[in-house]
Amino acid sequence: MDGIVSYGVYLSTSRACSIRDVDYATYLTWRGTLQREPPRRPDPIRPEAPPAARATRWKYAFVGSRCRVHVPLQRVCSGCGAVDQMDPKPMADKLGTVATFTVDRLAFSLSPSVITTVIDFDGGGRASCELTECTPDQVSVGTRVELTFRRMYGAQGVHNYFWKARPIHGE
Amino acid sequence: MASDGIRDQVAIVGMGCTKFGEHWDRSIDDLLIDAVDECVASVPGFERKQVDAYWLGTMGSGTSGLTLSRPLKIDYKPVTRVENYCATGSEAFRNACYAVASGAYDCVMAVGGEKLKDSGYSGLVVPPPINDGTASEPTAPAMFSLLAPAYVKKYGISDEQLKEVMTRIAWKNHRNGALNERAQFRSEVAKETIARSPIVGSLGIFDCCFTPTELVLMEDLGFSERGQGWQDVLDGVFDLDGELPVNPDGGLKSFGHPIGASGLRMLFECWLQFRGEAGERQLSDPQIGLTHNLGGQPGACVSFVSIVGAGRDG
Repeated sequence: MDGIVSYGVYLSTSRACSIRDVDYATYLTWRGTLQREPPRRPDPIRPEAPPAARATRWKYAFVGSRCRVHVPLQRVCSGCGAVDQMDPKPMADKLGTVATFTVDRLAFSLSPSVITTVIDFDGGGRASCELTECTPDQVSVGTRVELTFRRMYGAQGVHNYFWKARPIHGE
Repeated sequence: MASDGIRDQVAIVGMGCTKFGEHWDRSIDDLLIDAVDECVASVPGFERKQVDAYWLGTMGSGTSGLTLSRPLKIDYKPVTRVENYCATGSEAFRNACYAVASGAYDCVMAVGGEKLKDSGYSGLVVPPPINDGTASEPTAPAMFSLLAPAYVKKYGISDEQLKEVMTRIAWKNHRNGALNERAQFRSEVAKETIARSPIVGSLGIFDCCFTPTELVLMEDLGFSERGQGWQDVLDGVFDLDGELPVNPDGGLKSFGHPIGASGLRMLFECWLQFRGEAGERQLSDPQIGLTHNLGGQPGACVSFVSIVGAGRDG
């Protein structure tokens, strides 16, 4: 699969998770040993193989596309309307800035509360990302972030992996 | 090529609206029947068989026009079910209007209904289609509360000022809803209670997703200058006794948001106001009303606007 062969090298050089202290209950939850009461929301549905396979470049390598920059990659340009004329733009190593954010205490997460952000990437492109390795009081409009590849959750026997953003330190 | 529009080609001649609430004891069938009955009864001498075609707006309470025709026993008439996120009710109305304006039908009915909460789940639940697992899935309050930090930063107001503005909007809407027998939430809520309530993002439980959205819409719709909406709110411009009352019926805060019904509920208040039937909420001699119905989320939404009048304009 071209996404993993071409862009996967980034993962081996990325900085390790900066979280040092995790309380025991959270540790057990992340290891799958402790089942916690979920929010009163439907269980997350598992990603299915055909759409996940079609989305390989986006899902595993955060690839956008460029005419103007689109995140995720698109077939139709929102600027000029051209179809299938854009070039893929690998963006997993791009840094970005928080344009806005919110704290969601209702949504499902293995790591509640969920901090949802809108990120403006250096060089163009905007996407909505969950923020990790961060507490609500540590994020504001303008916070600088990088991307990190994470297991979002498991559902019906399938692990769902995708990208989250996290604050960068000492840029 | 510009559209000629349908101004003054279509008239609303009857309307009905149920009470809004959790209605654990009523099904979508019950609500649709009650609303249609009330609508038919509002037109003296009218019989339902005079309706040529129907449009039903519902997002999650049924698919196909059968959701309406089965309980109402509509035979041999076209029934179309439409959906456009939170603008579903307006979408039903819009399509019904174009059908009349086209000359294809003389008399049509638009119905909007939703059983949003028929289980133990909290909040709006939109089951996603089969997908690749990459879509971010914040709750509705979270998606709209994204507006608040961006507004604060862009226009240089403080978090405290924004909180005061959010509180004022929520207070206004609950005050109007207290005067509305059809509203779900009919208690006036003191500003202090709103300001102290538990939090999602920088919003209190009384702000939900609607309040920052109403603020931004005042500017989007041109009622306020960009960056000045917050000041107009605090000045009472949009209060029931203000220069430009917004949500005189109590709005989403008082009615909740049964998706398929909301767009039509807004038009129902215009209907009452023009007929002098709005009781304690009655404005003096309203001539023109505007409804705005957004569907989706900030950054990716549809936007419906209707302008309705008490009579043909000049």
